[in-house]
Amino acid sequence: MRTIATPLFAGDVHETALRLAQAQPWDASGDAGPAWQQILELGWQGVLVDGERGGAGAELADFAAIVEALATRALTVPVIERCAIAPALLAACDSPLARELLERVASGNASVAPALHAAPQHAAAQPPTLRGDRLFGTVATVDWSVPATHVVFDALDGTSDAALLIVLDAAELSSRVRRFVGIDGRTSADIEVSDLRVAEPHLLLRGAPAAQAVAMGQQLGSVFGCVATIGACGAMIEQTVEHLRTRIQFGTALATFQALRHRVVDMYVAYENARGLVREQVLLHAQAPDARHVARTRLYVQGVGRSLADSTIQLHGGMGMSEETLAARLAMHALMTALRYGDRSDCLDWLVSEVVDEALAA
Amino acid sequence: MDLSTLHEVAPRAPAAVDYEAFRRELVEYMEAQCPPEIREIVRTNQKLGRREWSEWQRILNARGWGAPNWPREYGGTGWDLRQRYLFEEVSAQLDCPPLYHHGIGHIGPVIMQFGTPEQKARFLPRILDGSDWWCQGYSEPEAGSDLASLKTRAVRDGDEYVINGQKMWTSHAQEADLMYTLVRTSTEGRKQAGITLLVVPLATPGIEVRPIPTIDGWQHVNEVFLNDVRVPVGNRIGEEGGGWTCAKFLLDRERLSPATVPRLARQLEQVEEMLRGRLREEGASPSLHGMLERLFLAQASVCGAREMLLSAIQEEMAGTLRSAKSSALKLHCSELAQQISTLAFDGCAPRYAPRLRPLAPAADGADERDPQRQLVHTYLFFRSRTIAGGTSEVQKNVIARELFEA
Repeated sequence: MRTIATPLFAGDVHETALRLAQAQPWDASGDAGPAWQQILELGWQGVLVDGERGGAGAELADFAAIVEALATRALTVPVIERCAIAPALLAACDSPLARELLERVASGNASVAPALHAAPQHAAAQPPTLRGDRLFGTVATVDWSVPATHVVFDALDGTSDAALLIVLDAAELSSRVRRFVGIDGRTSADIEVSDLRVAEPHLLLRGAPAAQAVAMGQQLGSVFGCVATIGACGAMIEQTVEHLRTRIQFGTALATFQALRHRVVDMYVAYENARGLVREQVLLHAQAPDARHVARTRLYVQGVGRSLADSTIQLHGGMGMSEETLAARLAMHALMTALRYGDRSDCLDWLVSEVVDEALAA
Repeated sequence: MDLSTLHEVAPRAPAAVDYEAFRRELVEYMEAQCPPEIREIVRTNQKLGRREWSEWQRILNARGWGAPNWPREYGGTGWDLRQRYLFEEVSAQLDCPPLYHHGIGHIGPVIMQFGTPEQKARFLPRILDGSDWWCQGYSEPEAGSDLASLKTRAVRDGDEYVINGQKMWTSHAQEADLMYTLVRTSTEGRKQAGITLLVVPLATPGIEVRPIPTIDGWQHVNEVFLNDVRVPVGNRIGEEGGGWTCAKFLLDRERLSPATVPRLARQLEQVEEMLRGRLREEGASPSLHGMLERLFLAQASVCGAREMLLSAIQEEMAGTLRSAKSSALKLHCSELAQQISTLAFDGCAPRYAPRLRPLAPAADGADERDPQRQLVHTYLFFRSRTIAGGTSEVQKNVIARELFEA
């Protein structure tokens, strides 16, 4: 296989994650359990958690190296959710329960599945509502590909409309879960929470701090979603080049046809540009998160991911339609990562409203 | 674009350089020294000519900044990559002219690499101070993308070469002193092997320069006819038959010009300003929303291009740059320039396309200074971005050869 893609952040962390990803056999059932177990053993749930909370206190770039490497094999493990978003949400809270949970997450003894509804750039579903101490509604699209001990999610106060951040034990939700398999083979769940009581300690944040935490979590998801897209895109190009070099049609390798070569070049140029953008975004985000920059990056990378997915399927011919083909799974992975944490319309609507408001106020 | 981000995206620099102070120094000097009338020409997207370029070159050289990309031994700055990029970025943001590419960017480094000590002493100082103005004689009527098929002949006659032929699409020939020219000195062997690089003074008898009117309404390209033009053998750069090597060396550097991305970013700022103005005047509309979407995508793409450029230059310095990446950068920036200029065109063409060239221009030059009118010129001029310096299709062939190893 020709090496064409350049890792965003090369190094030992990327190499380790790549070896882990490459060692996973494809499982038509979508069982992510074996890979996830290794991830827990490697302590990656705590990779971004501060050292004083039992984590590794690593840089965003280190975690990006993991996310990118896992995406090169289209692994459907909830690494962004459980290792980045959930720990960041818990770290934003100052309650005993949140502190205890964060330490358990860092040590691999708990795994918290996040669900964010009301982030400004991601209006995918209406958050559940809390009336008194009872919840009503649905916690939507929780990554359920591996077992979770808890679910953390945003909700609205039914009286004041204030944002809330709530954590619940997964065990008490099991009878309320409806599971689905997505286009990339990932299992997610909608959790019906109506008339479910929330004990006071489980209400982690209220009002502006909750809204800020949700926005922060959504942005982390966006940034690392872009990283995953880049990982999948680089691998799609390598798979496609290999296919065209080895597939013989009309008595010659497909790679000799200029129309196909040029389409691969279009993929490569788009990839290199998006890769540069995402690399810069990760570094910037570590320094000073900028919601507009994140949304713009996401808007752009979503388009690149979609375009490369389409080209990969087309250039693989019938093979591109088969789930058994890694290239096809990578294409699905890229399509799906483009939809999580704010789709194209969410990003665009939010950016336009920001600029229009600013221009009209000037 | 926020310059502070360069701390993270650019290679680590020697601790001795204070980049913030360096940037302030650039800003202070450029603001104070670049003549306002020249900045106005750049700001309003007017076509730059030798007068503006050479004046700015003279000013920069007086400060020791005439050649940011040259080593100190030849009168360059010896700056590191981040300093060079900052220089280009500040220059673009303050609407100073870009450095004249044919001298500083192209032939200068070729002379450093392949020229004799006498040639270096003769040509380089006059490039630096802007005394000599250069143009590039590469393309011919039958040799565009297939440059190695060029037919202009140079025959050795004692200590001279006698040149006959025709060059085409020669930018700035109408105002240049010297043309670095690829000529055929042999028809034996591979066609690339029979090519030689010569320096031809344009005042030499036997040369005729004819302008080619172009769709953008600016005069910049020409046909150059060479009839029994005699130049001394001392004007040959490198070995006889070594011209293709020089040309490839030049082309590789041309693709990595640090000036490209900051100029695109500046142009995008102007487009954003124009769109915000329309939002204020007309209010939000679906068509303006559509243009904003294109703006956001272009902004993201410029950020990506910047990182691509910086990493490519870094890889070039480390000797690890793949030609696929430099060609990808050229291809991407060319197309991005067209996207940006198309967005600008869509914003101002309904008013200015039918009124591009006033038959009775305003006496105070207001027509020329109207940035939106000039954006229409720019849109048309930028159609050449995917043609000049290797068409996008040729770039794709180059990239594909490397990706497929065949």
